[in-house]
Amino acid sequence: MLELFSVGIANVFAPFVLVMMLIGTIVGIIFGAVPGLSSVMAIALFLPLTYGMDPGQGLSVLIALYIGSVSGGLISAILLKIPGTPASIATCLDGHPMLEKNEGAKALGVGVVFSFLGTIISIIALIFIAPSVAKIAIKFGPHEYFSIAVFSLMLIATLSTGSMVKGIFSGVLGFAFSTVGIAPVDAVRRFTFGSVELYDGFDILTVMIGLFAVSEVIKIAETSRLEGKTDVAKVNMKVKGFGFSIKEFIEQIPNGLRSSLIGLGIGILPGIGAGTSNLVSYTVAKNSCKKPEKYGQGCIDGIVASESANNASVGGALIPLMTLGIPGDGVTALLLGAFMVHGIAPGPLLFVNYGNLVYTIFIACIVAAVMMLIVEFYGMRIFAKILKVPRHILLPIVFVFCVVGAFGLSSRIFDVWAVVVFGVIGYFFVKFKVPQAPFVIGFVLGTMAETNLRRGLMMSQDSFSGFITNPISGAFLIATAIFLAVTIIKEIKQRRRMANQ
Amino acid sequence: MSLSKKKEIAFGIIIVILGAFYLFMTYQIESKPGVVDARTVPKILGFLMVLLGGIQIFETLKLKSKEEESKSIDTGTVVKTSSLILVYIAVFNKIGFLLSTIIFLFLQFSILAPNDMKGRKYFVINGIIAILVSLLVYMSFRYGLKIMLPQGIVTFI
Repeated sequence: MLELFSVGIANVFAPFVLVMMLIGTIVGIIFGAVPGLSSVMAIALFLPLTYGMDPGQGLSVLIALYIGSVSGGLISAILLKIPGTPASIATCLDGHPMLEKNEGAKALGVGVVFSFLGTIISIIALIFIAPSVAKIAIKFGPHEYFSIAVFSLMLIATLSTGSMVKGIFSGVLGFAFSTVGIAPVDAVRRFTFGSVELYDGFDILTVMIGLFAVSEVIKIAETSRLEGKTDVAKVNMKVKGFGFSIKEFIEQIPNGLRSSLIGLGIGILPGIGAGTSNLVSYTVAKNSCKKPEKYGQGCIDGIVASESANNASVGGALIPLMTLGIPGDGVTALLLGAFMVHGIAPGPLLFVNYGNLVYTIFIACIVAAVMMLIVEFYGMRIFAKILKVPRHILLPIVFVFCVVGAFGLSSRIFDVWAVVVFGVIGYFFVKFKVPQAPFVIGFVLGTMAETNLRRGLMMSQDSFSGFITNPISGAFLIATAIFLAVTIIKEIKQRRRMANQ
Repeated sequence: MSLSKKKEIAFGIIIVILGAFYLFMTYQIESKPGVVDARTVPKILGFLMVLLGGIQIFETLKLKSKEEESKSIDTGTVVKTSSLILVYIAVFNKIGFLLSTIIFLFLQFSILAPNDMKGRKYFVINGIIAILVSLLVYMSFRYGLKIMLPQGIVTFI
């Protein structure tokens, strides 16, 4: 293991990689900070730049973007009272009141430091948990994979925000799009409409870019002409250190630790990540506090809870991605695509065949977290200025990068059209308030579920019993059934209550 | 955060139609002997979609009508933006990345510009940004990353 670590360190501490990661961190923070730009866009934008790098270099850069962008949201959450990304919604609640109390610098300092600590805690968990999970997962066959995929699909569809019907529909539609192309096992052509380009189906990257980036460009058109220039609050940054005392820091350690663990746990669950964990951990912190009324008035506890949780989800989301090939959220779905561009399939074999790569990614996570801490703190003034760059300039440029990224996949205009199609779908999702994440997860896990269903059936001579008798597979299927039943009962009860009111 | 009843029902109908179409298409898939073939999973998905659409319509009809959120939407700009994107992609391969991107960016900036950021000054700034960004992207991909973007009619760079 130490040997692998040293290889990882050597890979990451190459000047080229460090410079690219630094740029990645900065761009990530900007994308996190500017409302309307997101982590997914940042990675979509940088992805084509990594086509030419080796997998370790490319993924290190993308990790830096990911970590930077999850943290960057705190800047606008505090300075604009608008969360830069859904990951920082709870940061607004106490961040802006602190700014009004003239404690803006302290709020930013606390946010940055606990973003860093949350990231580090989750990465340590990743380093210790992932290899052991991979060791178990390596024995998994099609039965286990099928059941895990079904379990994850059910989780994302029911846990995603908003209406359950819409969440499930989103997942089903994503699954349906994954059936386009050549079917697993028997290689039958499906929904190809005679087009050769459809034989291989849609690429995950075109799905992601379209759904998350292009839809955003169309969405901004709804309001961009009506809004004026952005007002950014001025903050007096002349403070000692990070703006808070050691006593305050020590007081916040239990809160930060608990929030990090919540973020880590939510990050591991498929389909939900930083966007959910910051809200959950804020609520938990508030409820377990002796003086819950101080939350929302501008106390650092709220910022600690939100910012350590959202960044801790990063390490959490990487665990199922690296050990099972299951993306935890939209960003990790894109990272899955990035692995595939380099011809590597994430999963337990990654730890056997690409040990160097795994430890390079671990080291890259730590380095990116340190870079984030330094860049965000010392560059705060610059980031505050960037918030003023109008979005009507930024988003079309992002769109051009999306087009280039899709085209660069295999130099086909077909992929660019696919991006536009998924962009339109994404826009309709926004209009009808359908969550987008289940679509992506359905698209990825759909293929996994179907392939393993068919392989499993081949192994057990067309009998379904193998899925139940296999202990791990059976356990996941039973868990799926129980969870689904509980969710439906809860939903029905809630409707009754609403109808009675 | 609730949509109007009409919109919710329309959404349900869209799902049902989509599901029905998908289900119809699954019967065009070549069938092979066995418990599960290439048709099975798509069939389940199609049925699920129709079912979900049904639940969506039924649920909405049962609920009391909600108030529509009043948020002004600039439909003209949305239509212009979407059409511009379609035209851009359509000509992207023919007239080349550089030219099409410069035109696309310039027009898109102008379409999206807020009312207080219009006039000759912004016209020039937008033009310069469009040209610089397009050149930078093209050059860095072509020479830095060796990814060929469509050259089209601009063959001298």
